[in-house]
Amino acid sequence: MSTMLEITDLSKSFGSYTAVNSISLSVKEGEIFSFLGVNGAGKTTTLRMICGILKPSGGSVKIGGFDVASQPRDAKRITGYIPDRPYVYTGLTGREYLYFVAELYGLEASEVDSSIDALLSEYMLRDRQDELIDSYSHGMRQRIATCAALVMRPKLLVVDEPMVGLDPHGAKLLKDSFKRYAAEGTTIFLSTHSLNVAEELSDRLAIIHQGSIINSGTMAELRSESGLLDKSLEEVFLQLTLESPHEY
Amino acid sequence: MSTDHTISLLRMVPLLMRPKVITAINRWKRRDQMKTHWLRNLALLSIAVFLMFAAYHGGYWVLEQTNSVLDFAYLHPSTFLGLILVFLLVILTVTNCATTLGNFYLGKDLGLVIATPVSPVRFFFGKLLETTVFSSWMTAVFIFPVILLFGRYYHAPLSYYGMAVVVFLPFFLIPSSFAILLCALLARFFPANRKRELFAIVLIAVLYGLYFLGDELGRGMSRAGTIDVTDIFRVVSFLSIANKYWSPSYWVAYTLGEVLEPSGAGYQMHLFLLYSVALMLISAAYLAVRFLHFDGFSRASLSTQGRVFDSRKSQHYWSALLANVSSKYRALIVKECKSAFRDVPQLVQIVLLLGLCGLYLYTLSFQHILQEIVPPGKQKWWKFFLISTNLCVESFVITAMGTRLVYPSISREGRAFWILQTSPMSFRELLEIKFRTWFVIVLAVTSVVFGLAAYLLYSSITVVLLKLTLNALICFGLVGLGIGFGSYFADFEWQHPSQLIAGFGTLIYMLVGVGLIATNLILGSSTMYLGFVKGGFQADQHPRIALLTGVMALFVVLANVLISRLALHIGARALENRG
Repeated sequence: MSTMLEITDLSKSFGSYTAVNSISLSVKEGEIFSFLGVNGAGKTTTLRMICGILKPSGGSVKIGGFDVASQPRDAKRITGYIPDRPYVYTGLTGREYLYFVAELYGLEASEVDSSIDALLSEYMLRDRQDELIDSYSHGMRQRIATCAALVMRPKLLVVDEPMVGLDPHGAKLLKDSFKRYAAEGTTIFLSTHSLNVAEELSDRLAIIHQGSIINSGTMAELRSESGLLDKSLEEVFLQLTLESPHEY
Repeated sequence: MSTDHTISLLRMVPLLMRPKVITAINRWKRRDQMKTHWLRNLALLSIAVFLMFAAYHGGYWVLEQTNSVLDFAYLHPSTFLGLILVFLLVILTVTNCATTLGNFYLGKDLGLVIATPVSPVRFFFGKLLETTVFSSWMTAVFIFPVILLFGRYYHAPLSYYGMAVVVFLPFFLIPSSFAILLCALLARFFPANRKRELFAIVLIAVLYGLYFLGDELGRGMSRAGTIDVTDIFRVVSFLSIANKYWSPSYWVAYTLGEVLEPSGAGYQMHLFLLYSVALMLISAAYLAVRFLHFDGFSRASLSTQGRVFDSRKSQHYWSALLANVSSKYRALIVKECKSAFRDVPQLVQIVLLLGLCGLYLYTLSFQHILQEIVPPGKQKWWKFFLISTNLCVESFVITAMGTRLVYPSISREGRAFWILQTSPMSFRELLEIKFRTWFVIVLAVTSVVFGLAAYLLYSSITVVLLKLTLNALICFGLVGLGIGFGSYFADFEWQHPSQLIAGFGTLIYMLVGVGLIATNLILGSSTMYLGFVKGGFQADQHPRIALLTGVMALFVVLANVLISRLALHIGARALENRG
């Protein structure tokens, strides 16, 4: 399997504050990679740099071999992003929003009509597709943002806190979808502090703390390196992140 | 300033306005820490102040020239002031309507405020002040040089400036309390999910009004024939069209006019009218908010529930309509149009602009009559002067469109801006698409209105074509400037879109826009002067002047193209560097 996401010495500073401090990692095609950390650890900042929303202070991000800084269009064309807070255009209907995103990625509405139908059905939005997003609940907005990220069949799906605001049905639906897309070859890079989600879905994980990666690998590798062989991810995570003091 | 001092100053700000004031101070402090940002803003502000100074002198010159051309009829200073103030009153009224909708019904922070045990009096006066300040401060900035130049021209006593403060307080409160009253009644009695239909009716009414005005205008012009003494009275009465005795703009103009050139009639009645109407409207608005607001707010919160569109069919139509443009371009045009026409405050802005166009056409009637009765010796000069002043009013209408529709178009993306940031499109491409979209819209509207006006006024196809060309160039410059500055000063964290037109960036945009308009007026009028008065359009007879006319025309093109491209470049750089 080839490398889909490669991060090298990535840093981000805001004035004198360093949010992300020279992190490096790589994620292979079809892999589900979880990025764990406490609040304010630097997860969302890292994700926003991967997606080209934030300009890194140093280092590089490559997606499918394309450098996000020097080849942003090529990198973005194969990347889907689901943010933690699904701010979308509330003046459009769900279906219109999906057409909009598809056209932004250079796809014609007629080409994506059938995949939009399938996504809306899968995410239980078919009945509300012609209503303004303004009238959608938080969970529905989260689901329409997911549909939008998937409508152009991305090779890399970057997901920030996927389960926030979702009901148990929605959460189950999303987890099943991620497993299926990964099986079909899509790489999923998700940031979360829901340890059970990470444990259930991930092939590999990294723990970011105060802007630096303090540990990464498979679940077994993480347990082995922390010396907590028979412990859950929660216990491993707490052990690793409590070793160094931090501010919430 | 010490923290204690800041806190004691903040206590003077009404409670409901405090979060916005503190946010503004914090943002200023944060930006202040970035030296380059601070220096750039200072440079922009200096340019803006310089341009304002130039506008003051330009305005003074115009007033001087107008009075010299109209030396055959006496015109009271209130006549000119009234013309300016009626434009401002229309803008203030509709701006206040848009701000009221945001401040009282649609703001994202309202749920939090409504949930607290804040007293109705505190809620009303806090929001009234917020609405008035946000809607009026920019008008106040623009009225400042006008007041000064009138004072200088008419050698005003010191009491004139004091009176200006006295009359403008109710002048700003009247449209805001009227807007609050109107919105409270509409939100309560008109089913919330039928607002679109209501605004469709208003739009049809405005369009019919424009047709009616055009028709009247045409008839009025065909009636214009030989010049006699009654025409002088017609001039005065036409110039007074805007000065209706029932209009607050007239009361302000009359009071200030009486201080400038007392006629002996006194201004006490007008001042009394101004204050009594302001108090009456504030009381009525308070009662409306006290008893109707909560119901209206609840309805507005549910206004989008149950609204169903045929998304597939509408996409099919748009795809057919824009079949020859790229999918990215189409995506943004469709999104802009749909969002604009589904957003009530945005529709209010569109109605405002149509109203302004109507007012513009209305003022043409007296220009035509003036053209008929000007003494023969001044005819050539008058023609040139007429074209220039007409251009000035047109530029004002384009600037109003730019401020309300073009400048906020980047910030209006709001927190959904990440969608564009993560799409495979560069900021330069995004700004270029936005620029083209708004350039076509602004050009289409202004070409129809100004083209019709030019045809009715001058009836010469050459002048009409020249005016349309100049209009296209001004639109190019101002739309580019709007998109560029809108990106440079982009604010994606607004509570409601109506806040976007009340920011520091808007002021800078408008002031720099005035500078660009002045440049266009100087260069454009010079071209027209050389072409028409000095015969530059007859190249075979006056080759040197024709060459000079061509050079001037080239300068007009260059000024607009360069400023537009430069602004777009700066805007794209600013967006790229935001991270």
